[in-house]
Amino acid sequence: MRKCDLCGLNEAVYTDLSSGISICADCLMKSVRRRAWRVLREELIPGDRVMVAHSGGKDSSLALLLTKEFADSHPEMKLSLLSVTVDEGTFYRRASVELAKRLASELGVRHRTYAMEEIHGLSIEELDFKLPANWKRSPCTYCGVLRRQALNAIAREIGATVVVTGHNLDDLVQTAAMNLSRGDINALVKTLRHERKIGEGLIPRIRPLKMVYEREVATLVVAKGIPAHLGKCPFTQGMRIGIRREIDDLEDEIPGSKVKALQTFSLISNGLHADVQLRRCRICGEPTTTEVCKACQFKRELSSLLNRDLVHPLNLERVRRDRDVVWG
Amino acid sequence: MRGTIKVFLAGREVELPWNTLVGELYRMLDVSRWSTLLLVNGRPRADDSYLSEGDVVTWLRITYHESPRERSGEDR
Repeated sequence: MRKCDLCGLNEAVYTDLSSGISICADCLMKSVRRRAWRVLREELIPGDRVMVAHSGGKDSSLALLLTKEFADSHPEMKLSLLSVTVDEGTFYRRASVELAKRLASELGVRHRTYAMEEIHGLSIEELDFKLPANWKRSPCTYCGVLRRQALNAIAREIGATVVVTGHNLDDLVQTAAMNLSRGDINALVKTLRHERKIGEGLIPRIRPLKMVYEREVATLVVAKGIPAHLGKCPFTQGMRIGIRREIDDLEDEIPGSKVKALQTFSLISNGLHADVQLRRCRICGEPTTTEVCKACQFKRELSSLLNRDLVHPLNLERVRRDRDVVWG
Repeated sequence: MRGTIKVFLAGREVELPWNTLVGELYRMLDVSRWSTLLLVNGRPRADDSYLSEGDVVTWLRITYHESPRERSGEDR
C-alpha cells in the first residue's frame, strides 16, 4: 500500500504534481479545508446570512460541507446557513436534487428547492426538446444565464447577505481566460474580485473552493463518501470546453500553472477599474448593465419558439413566503 | 522475476507490466487526469501507487473534456 507522505498512516489517494507528494483523504481534506476557510475568514462578516447555491453536484456539496464546518467552528461569527437548489428541470438534475436534500439534512442545514419553470416559466428539458438542431444557441447558454439570475433573485428575496458557490480553481481560471480572450475587462474583474457592495439588487458571492483543483474535489467526494452527484451535465457545450483543454494541457506541462494563473489574473484585476453602471431591467426589474437584461433578451427569443409569452418579471412568490421561516 | 499482472479494466481483463503505476494508466488510456478520475477497487489512488494482480480499475468522468482520440471521433 502506498502510504501518505504527510501522516504516514493511511493509503495515499491523491498526488499533487507540483510538489510531487501523495496524500491520504484525511490530509487532503485538511489541506482543502485550510484553503477554503482562508477565503471564508477573509470574505464573510459576522451575522451573515449565507445562502449556499447547492446543486447537489460535487463542488457545491463540498462547499456546503466546508461552510457548515466553518460556521460551527466560529460561533462568534453568528452565521446562518441555507442550502438552495435551482432545479433546471433536467433528468440530470433530478438525481442531484435528492442528494442535495440528503446532504443538507445530514449536516442539519435547511434546504429549499425552486424550479426554474416556476421562476422563469420554462425548463431546460423543454428547451432541449423544442430547440431545433440548427438553433443558434445551446440549452447550456440559456441555462447559465437564467440560473445565475434566478439564484441572485432568490438570495435577495429570501434575505441572504451573501451567496456561497462551488466554483473551483479550474472553473475560475477558465472563466478568467474566456473573459480575457473576449476582451471583457468588466467580467474579469467581477469574476476575480470579491466586493461586498456590488450594486443594488446584486448579492455578493464567495467561492471557498477558488484555490482548490476540481480533481481534488472529486477525489475527496469519492474517498470520503460525501453525498453528491458525480455525473456530468449532458448539455455542456461551447467555448469553455476548448479553453479547458488548453489550460489542462498547460497544467500537465507545468504543474501548478493554474494556481499561478489565477493569482496573476487576480493581481491584474486588482489594478483594473471596472466600468459597470448597474440599472434595473426595463422588463423584469432585475439588476443589469443594459436596458434589457440578458435573461429577458433570451426569453424574448424563446417566446416565439415555445408559443407563449415568457417575457415577464420572475415569479418569486414562494421565495418571499419562505423568507420569514428559513433562517430560524 | 515477475513479468506481468492481470487487472480488470472497465470490465475486461488486461495484462500490464508488473510495475505499472496508476498515473501511467491515464497515458495508456489516453484520458486527461483533469477530466477523469481512475478508481482502483472503487477508491481513488495516488498516481504513484502500483497496481496489483486482480485490481479492478474503473473511471469516473469528473467534467466534460475531449481526449485527442475523442476529438477525432474514434470510439474507445
